[in-house]
Amino acid sequence: MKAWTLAVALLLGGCALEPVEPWQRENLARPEMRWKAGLVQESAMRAHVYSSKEAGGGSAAHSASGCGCN
Amino acid sequence: MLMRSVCLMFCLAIAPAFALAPGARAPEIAGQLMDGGKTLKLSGLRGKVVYLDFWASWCPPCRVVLPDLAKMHDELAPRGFVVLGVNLDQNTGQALRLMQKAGVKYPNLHGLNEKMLSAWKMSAMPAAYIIDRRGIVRAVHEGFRPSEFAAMRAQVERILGDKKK
Repeated sequence: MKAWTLAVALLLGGCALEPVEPWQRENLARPEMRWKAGLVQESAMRAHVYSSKEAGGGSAAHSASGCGCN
Repeated sequence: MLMRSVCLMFCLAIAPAFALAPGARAPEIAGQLMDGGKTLKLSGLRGKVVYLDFWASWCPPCRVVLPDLAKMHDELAPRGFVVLGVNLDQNTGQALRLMQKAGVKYPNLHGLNEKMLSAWKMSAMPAAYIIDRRGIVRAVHEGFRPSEFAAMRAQVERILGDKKK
């Protein structure tokens, strides 16, 4: 029982160690590490997905013949 | 035994939460100046009121405060005040450009080791410590909002007005 309690205490105690210090956050602070891309990148990605899915109708920017080749 | 284990877990869990409190002696800090090869120690500034600012170019509020700190340093230096920056960038190029743009003339250290940084127990950036003439931490500010600067400056001027010991 004692050994179990000590083992659990040490295991759980380990969770509190080694936090990321403020001066170690340089890479985390980079723009590409954001949860969400900016508005421009987001809309470009949406347009790309739309164009790929709607290949038969051409992209969002222009009408096309439906062959998906232009 | 169970009670002791629970206490141990509690102590380990809250250990990183204690920041360096006002009233504590300022830990030693020493590093190379960014604009030259010279080494500067915090203890070498004893007798002056020091505003110690831990900052980095990738931290937006750290960039915002630079021009205000440069102005405060220039205006209060004749009264025995100095801003001491500690830059935490991996590469100093961007930081040096920001310093030039903000008109920073106060000393900035770079390349401090983990042990020295850990002693300050900061939890956010920018982290600023106002240290009196005797080397005692009198105030701690973590993070920065422009609206807070006037109060911070008033605090510095109050500490500058303390009798020299």
